[in-house]
Amino acid sequence: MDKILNNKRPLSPHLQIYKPQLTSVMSISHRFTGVILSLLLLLIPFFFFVISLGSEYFNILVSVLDHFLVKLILYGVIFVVTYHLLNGVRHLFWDIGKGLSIKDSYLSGYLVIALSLLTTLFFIVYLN
Amino acid sequence: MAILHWKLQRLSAIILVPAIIYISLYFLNITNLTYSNIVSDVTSLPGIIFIVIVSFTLFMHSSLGIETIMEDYIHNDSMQRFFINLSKVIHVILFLVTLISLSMIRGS
Repeated sequence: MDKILNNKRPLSPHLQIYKPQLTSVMSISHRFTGVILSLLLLLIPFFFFVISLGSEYFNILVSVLDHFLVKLILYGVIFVVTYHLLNGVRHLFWDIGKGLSIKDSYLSGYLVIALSLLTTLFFIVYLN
Repeated sequence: MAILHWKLQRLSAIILVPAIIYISLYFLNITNLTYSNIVSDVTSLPGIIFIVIVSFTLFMHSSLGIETIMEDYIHNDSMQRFFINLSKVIHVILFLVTLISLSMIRGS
């Protein structure tokens, strides 16, 4: 009996034929950027450790940061940080019951993407 | 327990919003700072208090987030518990290494 009932239950959307919406893509992106940022946390003890080694090691770190490829990664990190931070604020507003309507959640979603891109562009210009 | 997790995740997020903006702006200006500038900033009393509180909050926020993701995607109970505990241990180690490195800067 259970098996028959289970077979009639509605299926979750199949990812292969599922049309992604802005809201669902942003939700999974929040988690994805969160995982990237968690991995980047390794840089915090590393940064303090390099400083503890002395000025010559710190100067090497600064020169590495000036490298073209490192800068390129840094721009990506700026986008990831900004996106996770702004989308996190969007989540905090939802938690207090604000902006939950479909119209508002799309509006805040577009706002988060636009502001993240603008902030990244600003720092690309600023750092060059 | 789940309510505590939810509340801690939100509370840490609220603390981190201004802290991350400040840290990011400081870090993006790092090439304009000298080594001694940074050492005096991170070894000053407000600097130490800021680093300890913010890094603790940051590692906690990350640990809670990773735990949520593992709860959702690892379906085997014992595997899930193993990886959540592993993640927690790694986060604690990273926080301790941060504190030890900070004390090494202060000692040097």
